Amino acid sequence: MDLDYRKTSAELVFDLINRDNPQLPVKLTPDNCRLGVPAAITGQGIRNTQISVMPKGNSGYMATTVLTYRRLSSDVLFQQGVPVIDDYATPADLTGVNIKVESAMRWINQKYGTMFIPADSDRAAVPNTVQTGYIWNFPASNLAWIGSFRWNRKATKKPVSEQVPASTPLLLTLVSGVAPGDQKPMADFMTYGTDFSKFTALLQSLTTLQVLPATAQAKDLVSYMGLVAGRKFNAYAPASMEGGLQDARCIKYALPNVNVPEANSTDYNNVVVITPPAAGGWFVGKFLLHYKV
Amino acid sequence: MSVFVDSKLALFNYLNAANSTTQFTAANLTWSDPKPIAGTWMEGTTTKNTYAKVTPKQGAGFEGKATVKYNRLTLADFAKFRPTRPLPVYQPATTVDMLSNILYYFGLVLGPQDILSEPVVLDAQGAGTVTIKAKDTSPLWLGQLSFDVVQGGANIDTLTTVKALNGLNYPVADPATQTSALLYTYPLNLTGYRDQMLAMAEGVLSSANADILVTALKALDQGPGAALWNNSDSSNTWSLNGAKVIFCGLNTMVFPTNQSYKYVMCLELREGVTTPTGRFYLHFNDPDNPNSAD
Repeated sequence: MDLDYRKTSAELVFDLINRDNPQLPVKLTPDNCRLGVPAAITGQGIRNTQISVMPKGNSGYMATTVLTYRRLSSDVLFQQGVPVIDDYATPADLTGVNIKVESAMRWINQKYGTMFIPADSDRAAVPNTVQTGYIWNFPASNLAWIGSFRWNRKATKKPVSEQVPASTPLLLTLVSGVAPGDQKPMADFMTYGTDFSKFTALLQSLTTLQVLPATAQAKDLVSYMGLVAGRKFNAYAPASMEGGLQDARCIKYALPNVNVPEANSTDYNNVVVITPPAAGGWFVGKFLLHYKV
Repeated sequence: MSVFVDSKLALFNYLNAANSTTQFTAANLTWSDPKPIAGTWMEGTTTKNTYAKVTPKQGAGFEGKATVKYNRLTLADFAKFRPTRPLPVYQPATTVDMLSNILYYFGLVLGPQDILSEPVVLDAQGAGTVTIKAKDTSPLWLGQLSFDVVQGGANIDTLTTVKALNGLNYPVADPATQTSALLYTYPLNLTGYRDQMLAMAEGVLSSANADILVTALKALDQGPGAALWNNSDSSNTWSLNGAKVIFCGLNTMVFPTNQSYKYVMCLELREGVTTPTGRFYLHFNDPDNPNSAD
């Protein structure tokens, strides 16, 4: 009877013991038995290995038994020839770096159906400067495999899936880097499309990044913004308070302008952008106050 | 005198220690079956409960005989030392069948010469109470000892009757001489032949379909079979002629297949085709369409 070979070396040996000893009242498993260190033997026909099997305390078994079996050369697994794994490392990644053989493990397991674990390799570091002739050595203590096998690497381009991990969902934003679901009101939408040309004198003065001046005209502007937005705005309260715009920062741009491409308009040739203070405020995004000169 | 050695050996050790020597062994002295002192003329002369006769064996360098008086131990006394937990035993027919368990779990050496062989009756769960009784002729033991037993303590050495295992041989009988079809085709990706393969019905391959698979395998195979695949009804190696499709469709855990593929075709070669050996599993996926999110 063939057994599923896609198992770890210890599981392969347990499967073999159980297959040949179906009379055992309880199957032997890694949970109820320990396997000793395999010892090489000769003169036993196909069997090249001797091993002791020691039940654990809760196994229902006692005593120890010694069994013989055949450990296999891994050639039997790679009947297509030398295993080749795809590796997206570019030549620049190869210089002066040592890699461990086990780094190839997951590719070999995936492609060939093996179930190697790190303990199956001697984990020797090899120069990461060549594409062929890596050697995977099985430690002498390996339960199922003996000797070594050669494997090659085939450089490929980096898979896009490595760069766009499926586990990292994209964070979509509407405008101004604000994600949907942010609880603060978004300023971009509150005054967009309104003509602020009647405040041109004030707006034209905001040529550098600054707070709104404490003037009657600025107070009128803020009131008008509130009227447009359908909210209560306050020119004398800080932005830490709902509706406050006293310390919001303003700057004027002539349109079109690469700094505020979202404000470019066929109807207006200037815009004043009002953003929250550095510490943040009751709103996110930016007010866009369009006007014509 | 230790209870952790064979009873006869324990007695010789005792005899040597009592006489400040090491020369007495089972090789040069015969230790007779012991007898109780009670009821003999020696009763009033000693506090010991047992006597036995030691006689030199031929070539021992001694002659004559000697009577050794000593106290046999009472099995019941062992109950004072042993753990209170039940003794794990595995389906013993007689009390003697439990002696290795008593040694393993209690560290007490008892042999068939020490204990009467009596039937053991346990409940359906293999548990119960057992009494072991010392033989009159036991060199070291008197009396009896009762204790609870539970199922367990199966002797792995006696139950594992096949010790020279017939493997590893995954997944063919003799990996040294046989090429496993399963292993040989496991790494191949036949996605390019998806439509043709899915159209193949279960059952014996038509010659045209065998030709398709021969072409596919020749193109993908990197191993010794690359040039050898054929559709000849007279070839007994690498021939897909008359091969049978056991299954073709969505991959399933039922088969030892590579789960990173969506589809698998399971093929069985025509009877008489010996290389490769066993069933094939040919894996393939849907070809990728860059414009489809699937």
